[in-house]
Amino acid sequence: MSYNYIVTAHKPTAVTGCLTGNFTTPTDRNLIVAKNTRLEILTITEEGLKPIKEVNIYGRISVMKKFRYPNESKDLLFFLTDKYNVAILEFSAESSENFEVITRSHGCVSDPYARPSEAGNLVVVDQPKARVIALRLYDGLLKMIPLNREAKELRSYNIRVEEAQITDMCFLSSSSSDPVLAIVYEEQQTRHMKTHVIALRDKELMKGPWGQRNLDLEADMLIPVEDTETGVIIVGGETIVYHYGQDYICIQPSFLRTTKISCYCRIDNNRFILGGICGRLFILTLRRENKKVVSHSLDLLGSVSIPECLSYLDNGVVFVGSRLGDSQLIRMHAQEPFIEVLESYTNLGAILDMIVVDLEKQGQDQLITCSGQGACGSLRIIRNGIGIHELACVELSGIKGIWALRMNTAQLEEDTPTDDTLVLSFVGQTRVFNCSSTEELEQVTLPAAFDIDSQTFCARNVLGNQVIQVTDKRVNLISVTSKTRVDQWFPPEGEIITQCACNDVQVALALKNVLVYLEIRDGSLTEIKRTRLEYEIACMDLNTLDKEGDQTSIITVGLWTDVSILVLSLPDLEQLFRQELPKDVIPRSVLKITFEGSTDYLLCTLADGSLFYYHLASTGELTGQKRVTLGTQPTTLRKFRSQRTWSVFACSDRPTVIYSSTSKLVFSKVNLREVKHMCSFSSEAFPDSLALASEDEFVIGTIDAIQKLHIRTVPLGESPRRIAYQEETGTFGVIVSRSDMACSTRCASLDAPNKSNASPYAWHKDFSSFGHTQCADRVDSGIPSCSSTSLQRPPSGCDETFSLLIIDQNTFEVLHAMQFCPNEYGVSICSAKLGSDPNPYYIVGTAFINQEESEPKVGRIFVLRWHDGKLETIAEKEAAGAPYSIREFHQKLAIAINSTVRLYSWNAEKDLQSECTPFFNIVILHLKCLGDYILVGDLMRSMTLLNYNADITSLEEIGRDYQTNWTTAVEILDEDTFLAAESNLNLYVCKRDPSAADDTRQHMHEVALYHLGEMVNVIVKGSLVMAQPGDMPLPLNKSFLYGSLHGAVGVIVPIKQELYAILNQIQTNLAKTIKSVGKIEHGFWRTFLAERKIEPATGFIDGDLIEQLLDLPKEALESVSQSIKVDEEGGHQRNMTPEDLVKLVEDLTRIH
Amino acid sequence: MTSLPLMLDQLRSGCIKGISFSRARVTERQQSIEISKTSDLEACHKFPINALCLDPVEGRFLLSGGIAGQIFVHDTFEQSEGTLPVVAKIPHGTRYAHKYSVETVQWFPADTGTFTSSSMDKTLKLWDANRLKPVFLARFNGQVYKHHQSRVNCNLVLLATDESHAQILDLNTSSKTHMLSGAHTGKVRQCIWSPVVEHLCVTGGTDGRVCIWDVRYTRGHLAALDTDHTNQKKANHHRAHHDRIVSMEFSSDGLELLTYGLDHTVRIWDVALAKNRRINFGRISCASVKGVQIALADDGTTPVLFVPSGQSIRMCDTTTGVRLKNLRAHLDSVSAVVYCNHTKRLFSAGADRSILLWCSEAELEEDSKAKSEAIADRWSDSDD
Repeated sequence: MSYNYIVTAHKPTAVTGCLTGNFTTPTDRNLIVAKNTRLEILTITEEGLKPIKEVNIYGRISVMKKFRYPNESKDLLFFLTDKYNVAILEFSAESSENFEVITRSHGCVSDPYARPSEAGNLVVVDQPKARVIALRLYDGLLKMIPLNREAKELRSYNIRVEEAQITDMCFLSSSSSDPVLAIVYEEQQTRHMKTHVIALRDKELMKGPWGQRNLDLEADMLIPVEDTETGVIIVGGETIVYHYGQDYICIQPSFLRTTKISCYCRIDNNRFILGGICGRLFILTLRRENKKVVSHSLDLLGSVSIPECLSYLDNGVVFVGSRLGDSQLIRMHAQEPFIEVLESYTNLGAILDMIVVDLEKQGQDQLITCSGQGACGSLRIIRNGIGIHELACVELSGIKGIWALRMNTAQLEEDTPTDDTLVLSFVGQTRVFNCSSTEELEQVTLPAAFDIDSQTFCARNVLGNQVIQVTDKRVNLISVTSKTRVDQWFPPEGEIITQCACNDVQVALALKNVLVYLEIRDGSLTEIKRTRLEYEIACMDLNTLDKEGDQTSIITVGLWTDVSILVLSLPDLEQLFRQELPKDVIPRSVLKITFEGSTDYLLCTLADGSLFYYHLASTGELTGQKRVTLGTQPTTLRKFRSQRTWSVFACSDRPTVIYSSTSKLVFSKVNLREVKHMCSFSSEAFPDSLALASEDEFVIGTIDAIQKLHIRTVPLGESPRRIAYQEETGTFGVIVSRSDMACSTRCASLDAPNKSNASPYAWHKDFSSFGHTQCADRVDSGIPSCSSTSLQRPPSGCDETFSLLIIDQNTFEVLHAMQFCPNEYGVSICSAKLGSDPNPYYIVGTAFINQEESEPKVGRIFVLRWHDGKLETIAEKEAAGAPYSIREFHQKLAIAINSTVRLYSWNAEKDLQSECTPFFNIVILHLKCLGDYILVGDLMRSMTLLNYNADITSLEEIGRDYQTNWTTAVEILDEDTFLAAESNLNLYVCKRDPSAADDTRQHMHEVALYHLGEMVNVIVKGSLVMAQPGDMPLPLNKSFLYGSLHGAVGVIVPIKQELYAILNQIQTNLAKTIKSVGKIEHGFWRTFLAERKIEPATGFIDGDLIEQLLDLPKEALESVSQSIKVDEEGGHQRNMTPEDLVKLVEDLTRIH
Repeated sequence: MTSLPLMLDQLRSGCIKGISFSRARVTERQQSIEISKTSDLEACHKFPINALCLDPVEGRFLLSGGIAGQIFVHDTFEQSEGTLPVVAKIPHGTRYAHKYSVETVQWFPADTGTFTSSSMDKTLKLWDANRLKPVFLARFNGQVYKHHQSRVNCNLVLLATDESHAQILDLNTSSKTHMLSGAHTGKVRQCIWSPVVEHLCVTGGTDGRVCIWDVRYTRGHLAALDTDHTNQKKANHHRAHHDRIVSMEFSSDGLELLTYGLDHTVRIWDVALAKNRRINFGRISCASVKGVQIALADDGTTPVLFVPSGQSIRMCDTTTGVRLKNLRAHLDSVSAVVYCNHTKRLFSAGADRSILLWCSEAELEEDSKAKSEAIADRWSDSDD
């Protein structure tokens, strides 16, 4: 067996569908966006799109449609998944903040033996009468789901339809009693249109009122026109026809020939927006006379991301959902430019390749993905946590605290005053730096009013242009304008201040176990109350919550000895609540904060680096304790503001930023080794910065946008295909392609303005000469290589040009571009050191494409060296096919060429030399190497394991999976288990049995099966989080990452059997407890499903489900934890408590 | 034809679905199918072969039955020196073997634990595949020309026993439960269950009639297929072929039925509408009077039909009827072809007593290279 834990680290971002309608309330307009397995519900407001709910579906959303029952005031959502589950959802608004998703009815419409249509699933709803939903899922069958408002279950029946290849269909508005369905279908390479009347009572198809034979050969879209006459628009490859039964009107816009229309949305009865696959938007306008359409026209609007779906929101704003690029929100204008991009939503979509590199050498891996296509093509750098970009750095040791002050009198009246002074506190002294305008930090002396000979505990600007300074000996209140001390407060003789907390108007001081409460007035400090607590005070907090304004009525105090948190009321210092901490470690820092404007939290860190957090009620009561381990050292919490929201910075040996997202706390590591103290700081020279102090230096820097995974985009303007990293030269080698027809000749004739913002290199650098001259040079110089004549193939419609880019690892600047010959496809790249040669080389494999051949017969392998800013071709070898994969293997190269694996060694003449007998399969697409093993992923025949025998230099087959699986990525988990992803979106693991008898040894058995629902294009070894010593629950050094077509990144970690057993029980219980949207069973969703194989999932734990445990209420946790046993020391078994469960799952969430 | 690297890119960027990709590649492989020059099946039959069946689970074990009552099983995964070995044999004349010609062999549709065989000795045997002993035997009045075990309800066996009616045998109760009578004027020699609908089956007779039955329906057949389906007047005159039916096959979605008649034609029928799809395959000369096994490969972009025609196998596109290839290698008339959905290979058997393996060219070319190099290696090894 093989046991694995799989969890999504970055959810899919490619938009696969979108809809607008009044879903939540009869008046609100909503946008629903489908992203593979997720639904996002947003409300359209005047300020923009406001996300209100995110729903996970146990299935990939294939089609979603809105519809409305007659006499209902809200729209409902119908969706169909890839596994043919259907459901009707209602979004009900309990309050303006809280939305409930209700499954009105559900069902499954699969026919296990029917033949799924290649044209994809088509769904149409009969509107406005809402009598039936028609689906075309399988060739030759129309499926009808009769709609009934009361029915809980959706049942369907099939109607045999003679037209096997239907490309699109729609309902026509008609006066007849039965719905009329219009279809476009293909018959013997021609397309026709036909109408059918669906006789609902007899469940039969009747001949429809009209049809049209011999349409445009590429006619594949029907747009119904709601009208007095039943009209329909048929969009084809060259024509757009408006057809209304008796007659039709046809136009042939010139730009249709240059693009293919893939989606549309309706503005009103007369205007439609059409989106083309090369990323262009068009507007189709119908002109009417006497309510009769007399003509129509198509006009170009402009360029956007390659659209997958379009939704017209309101006021000329359109949502462009994209699968191959960032989705966009655009506004249309009446004048040029017609399109203005309002917002853009990051999409990693179509991750074709990725690598894990540790660029900063901090043990923190980053992921570089090849994302997007065409003009949306880019490299994305994905890093866990938040980056601090250093602006200034001073070496200073022993800093005990750091605060920013506004001392400049000139700007006191300004609305947004900027800080100009930094106060640094040390043992026994306080130093001040001025950083008002120059970029240099300059140590200054403070006015004498400040106490500089003692350690400052707190310094801040307070009410009435005053500054408060708290030291161990006294409290100073200083006027900013006069720079003089206006009031002072001393502790009683012989006592010193041990802790302090303050806000704009209040100050709390701790004198060992005495708590003193002061209030700041204009020009004075007044002691209001003093109380003696049971134990000495360890930490305090006076931060205000959002709803309280600038004064708080609650003070929280952490105590020594009994290790508890007290919540006291202000100003009378009465105890409101006492919370014992479950650990014998003293609290070091407490903090109150309001996240997302609504929820109040109390955070408390302990001296061992763990953090507890609670919901804070207005009565002071603390509920819902949760625990997270942040670091190993005492941790200090600081509140700071970034991008208009408050977040918390936890200063420790593993600095963390705490924020809230969709009412969940998120903990993001910061890319710094250690932070002891911090404060937010904004001066003219360093706007919106943070000041951070570590053991021996002091840094001013800016912080990234706050999100869990940080994604940086490097636009290329071409489609990146493959990437390799060469550490020695600090460069990336990226194979990119650009579609000449679509980008230059085709679209250049349309418009060119958008090109300038695509990529600086693609349009500014003319590198068209590179590849060709290089080829010519090489032939001239007589180096033996493939003769250029054999490579000169007639152009055969392959319209893509491939190049190799060398990109700098730090600046991501394109250093060099090498273009390959026409029809030459770059298919693989790797960086390798060969033989005893000390130089690193890029090895690039290309294939020559000929339209007549289904498999390439000729390819080339280049050995290239990047050196001194030049790319030098060291060797070039002709291959008898496409080198689909190249790997470094024992200082040699293992190359998969069509159906063979060959080994090449590097000889003294710097040339590749074929070595070793090749191994054969069907078409070998993937190679992975470990030790002497080479794992082979075949196009169709699953996986084969080869062993390299160095003594006789031969490859020997030692294991094979005999099942038919179309692999899309493979990986070696360990010596005996092998992971593969296949084209039906499943994952499976094969195991080799090295101890088996000789005749059965070669059979590898599938021991783990799982339906992922993501098309995995690449699996790499690596992890997104820093390996942390000791307490990680899962071995991160054996973690693997996958990248998918829809932009999801996930983590796969092999786990031990004991953990699997426990998690499996939790998973089973959770699947029962958590209600799924659409009532789809979790087990059904994860069932391995290929064309001829259905097997229940095994060997994989669905981490996405497991992590939902953390959101469960306590009662649900109780029921989940029932009957789950754990082994204790001494062989006993005991039941797991809900706390154990939460702890286990919280630990698991830290692997991503 | 799209080149593989291009298609892979389309798959990886989501421009085509996984199913379209695999179908297109399968079609491409089917079109380059040829006799395998490197692999063969261990010769075992000493008499002409009538029937073939591949196990439905993995497509691994190949059952073959012959004219003298012999039955053999090959393992098509295991390869020693390029030969697929025989793993089980019931030679003719042995204790349990059929006395006369075995006309049909079929694996149990759910696993490889049992298989059924029927013979001219008027019996049907249910075999334990591991012990190679019959565990059940049924006797009939007529010679069993064809039997078929339903995929949906595995216990029901439909039999064509050379009478004017077909019979249904329930293996659960070991009893003959149904007689499908009243539709044929000639003798029923072909029969098949629908792969999808539990109660639907089809019979074909020497009278050229093909009748569709619902076994729950007591008043005769549902429909008799008619070539021109204009002939509405008398249902009794409906003829699917002008001569006897020699083979029938359902598409795997159960929507279409293919029939092959001694009138040298192949027809495709829409089962639900009982209508001729009118796809013209041209003349496919049929040599066998008894019955043959045709194969439909519908895992590609377009379904492909393999029809034994004399010594060759005709390969046709079922959407257009166009002849794609004529596979010639057998030395005598071909009686059965089976297509493996799992490995995308084709097996054929005939009166020349051999089972042949057909696969895609690309694999073949490389295989031969591998073999020759392997041989070369062995030579050099022995020199040392």
